[in-house]
Amino acid sequence: MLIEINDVSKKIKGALILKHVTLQFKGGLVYGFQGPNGSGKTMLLRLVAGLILPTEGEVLIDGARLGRDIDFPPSVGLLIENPAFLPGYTGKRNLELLADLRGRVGDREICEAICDVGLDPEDKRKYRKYSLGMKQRLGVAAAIMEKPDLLLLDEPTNALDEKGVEMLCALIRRERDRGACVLVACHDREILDRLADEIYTVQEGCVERRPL
Amino acid sequence: MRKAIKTEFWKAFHNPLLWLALAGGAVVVIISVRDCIVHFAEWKSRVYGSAGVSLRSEGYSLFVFALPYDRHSFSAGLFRYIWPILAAMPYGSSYIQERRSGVYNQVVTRIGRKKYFFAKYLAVFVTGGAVLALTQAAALLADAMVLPYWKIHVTLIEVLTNGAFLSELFYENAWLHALAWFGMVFLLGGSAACLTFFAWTGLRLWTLVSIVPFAIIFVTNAVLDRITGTGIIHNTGIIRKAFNVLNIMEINHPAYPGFSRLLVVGVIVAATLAVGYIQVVKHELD
Repeated sequence: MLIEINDVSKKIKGALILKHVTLQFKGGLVYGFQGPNGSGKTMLLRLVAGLILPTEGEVLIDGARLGRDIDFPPSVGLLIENPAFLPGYTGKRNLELLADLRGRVGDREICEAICDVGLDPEDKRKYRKYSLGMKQRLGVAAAIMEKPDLLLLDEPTNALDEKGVEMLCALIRRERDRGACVLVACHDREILDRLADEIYTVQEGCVERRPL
Repeated sequence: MRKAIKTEFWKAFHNPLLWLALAGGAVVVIISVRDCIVHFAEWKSRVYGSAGVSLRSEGYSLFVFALPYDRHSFSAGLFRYIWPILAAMPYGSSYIQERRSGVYNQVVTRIGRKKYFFAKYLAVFVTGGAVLALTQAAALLADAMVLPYWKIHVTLIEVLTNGAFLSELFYENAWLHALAWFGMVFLLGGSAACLTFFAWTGLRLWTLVSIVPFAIIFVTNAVLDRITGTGIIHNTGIIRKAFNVLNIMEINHPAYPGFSRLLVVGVIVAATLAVGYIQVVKHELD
């Protein structure tokens, strides 16, 4: 997988959120984005996910332009902002509903993903009863369950305890080793140092590579 | 597309708001039965003792006084005002809720915006239409428990005026006519439910989103009234405007002869498809 961001700018309500960003991402690597709140990290991930389109420039996924040739990357798993599920159903049922949309994975893969993040597939509690940490774990499970080629994680360590962070790091490494291109936005520099093959700092819409 | 539709319908039919809307419809049905019982008692006291007069000769029938036909009862008045809310309640707010919560992101990145939109539109339409059609059908059947279902003869009492919705069929086979009417109610309710696509994501509460179709119809009425100047206040005290869209649920309303309601359905469907498509597929809220 090759993702090319070519001279991309994004303006929202007159404010320039991303300024002439040019980047390239390849499969089998973890890319970290570090920066303060409001610096444009989430916006960058949303652009790559196809959830918003650039005001200027282009985003290419294996040569196909987002918004023109394709609406979304063909194989993407994402956890952007907060984990989002239907509150009236169990975690597993939520993942089943999402998995049914593509039909790429079945019950076994869903249970595996839930176990991978340290949750119980047989847990009968509804999502609304989950703790913040459990919600975050389920969000990670939804992102990885279909073994996507592109994995976008925005502040994935939010609400996770120490053990949860370790679990997450192991999962991200596993996904990278599988060949996925992993983009992680995180304000915690230490975690990115442990995980990322390349780290970028995002500051007021400008993205610069930072030496490891 | 099939999977997207299946998932949306699964979510719609497991949505507690659908059951709440059906409960609202059940309340209307109960009030309708009560209206019929009260009516029946009054009617009987008037008819008894008069020479040569019977309930039948006076046109006392289900097909005159049941909810779909009687425009003057309390239940009919209530239904006339709440039907857009009942239609929107089951699933109308789901798009806004999914958009706000982020579930939308999870779904569209898997199936694309177009499939998501059309599956959502279909689910909103069907649930909204089904709740209204079921309410009217249940009211007719419940009212049949307390009213005789005598066939109405056109010379006896004019329930449906000539040119009204399938009026000939009504006098030939009232049950079949009722079925056709429920189909029309389904289309009207479904299209009205889709007016929720006019809502914007700033509306946090499902209650506010569910009121959007009513508000749109109310404003449309006011505008049409202002343009046409056709507002009429009857001596019954019921405000009946010729173009009052709320009155479209009155089977014999003079403003909606024949299949003219289909035109209204078509206009609403075209408008909601256009607005929904722009909102969901094209428009970037960020």
